[in-house]
Amino acid sequence: MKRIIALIALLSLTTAAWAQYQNIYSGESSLYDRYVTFNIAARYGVSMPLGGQKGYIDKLSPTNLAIEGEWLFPQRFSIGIKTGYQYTNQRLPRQVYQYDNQSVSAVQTRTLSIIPAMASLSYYFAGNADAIRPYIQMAGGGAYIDYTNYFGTLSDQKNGFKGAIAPAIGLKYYGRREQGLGAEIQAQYQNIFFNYDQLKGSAPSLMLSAGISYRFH
Amino acid sequence: MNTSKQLTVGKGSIWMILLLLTTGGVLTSCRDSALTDLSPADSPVYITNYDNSINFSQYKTFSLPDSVVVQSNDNYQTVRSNIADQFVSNVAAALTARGYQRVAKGQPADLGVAVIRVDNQYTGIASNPNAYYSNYWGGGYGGLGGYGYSPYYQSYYTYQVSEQYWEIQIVDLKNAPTTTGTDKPQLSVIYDATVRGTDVADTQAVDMATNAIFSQSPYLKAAQ
Repeated sequence: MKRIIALIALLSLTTAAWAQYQNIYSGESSLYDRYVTFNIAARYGVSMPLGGQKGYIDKLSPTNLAIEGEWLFPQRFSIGIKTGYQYTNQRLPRQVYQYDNQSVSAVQTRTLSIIPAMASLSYYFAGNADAIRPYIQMAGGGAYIDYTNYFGTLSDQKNGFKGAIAPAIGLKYYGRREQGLGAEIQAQYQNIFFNYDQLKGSAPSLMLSAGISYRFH
Repeated sequence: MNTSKQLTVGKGSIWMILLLLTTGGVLTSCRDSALTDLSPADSPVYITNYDNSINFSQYKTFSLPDSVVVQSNDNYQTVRSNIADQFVSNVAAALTARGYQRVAKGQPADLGVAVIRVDNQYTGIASNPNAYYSNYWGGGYGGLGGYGYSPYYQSYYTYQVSEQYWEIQIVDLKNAPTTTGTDKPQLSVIYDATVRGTDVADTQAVDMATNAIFSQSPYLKAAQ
């Protein structure tokens, strides 16, 4: 309990300091507050499969890249586009799979590649020129998804462009006000409306990513 | 001042979109390297199909030639080789272990077993390697001899690609339709197994294949 009170006290103090810091600059009008400006970001991510995607590949994916571009509006919101590349695979020991009156004995190498193409809308809890910019984001659109399940060396492939949504929360940190180059972390839930054979239902995942962010005008 | 600002804004947008597009374009697929570490033992795929309306315990005997038919694009020939011999003897041993009895060439049998090596098969081929088998099995069934049989598949999945693979086919001779004249008897393929994905290179691979095929086909069993 003491620890919680201490934490709350610390939080309110820093928030107060933060408000002070903002107030100092509020009079000064930054270019970021007057024009539509830009932010681009590239992040590396680790993705955890959920639901149907977990049923297909049950392991963390260390190979994910997120690329994002945003138009920052002076009113603390942004409209963006995001893409990237997500890849995951898993080798399963030899097993017999039953399909009606057919049995297939094979070592499966399951792969899943995703290239999202989404539009995003973000709201920032800090001004466009601020040093620290936490945000919430809703993205939607589609994703090119490639499901290739190799039975031995034979492939069972299904691919296509499917609908997808991806709400996210994140934080951009630029070190100081007005600075262009910064760092960014993001937690994104993504659900792609794709299902085929061993991937049942849909393909949700949770991706934690970190990388660089650059704002400019 | 205003004009120059607008110009910068325009450039920014174009730059950003170009960056996104190039990044998307440059990305190549990791999927292509997914199989680089697949060992030869992990490569083959054993696919078996059977007619699940058939009760395999109704059969007692089978007929199986010692040679293997190699089916190429437009012809076929019989071969004997270490691998072929091993394949035939493994199939014979496995069926015997399941309670079926092998009969000599030309003797009446309940099941006709064909071990076929398919080379470079494409869809729509014209050759009928099964003439060889129906000659061999045909003894007790006058009508079969010389004409070949046209295998009748149930709703099996069929894979016809340019690939080399081994196939074990079992047809129902016990319930063969009576044929007249020169009609090809249509024999039901009640069981079909193929070894896909990689070629069977040595006798060890043959053992692996026949072990896997028969262990995933527990329904192949004569009445005790």
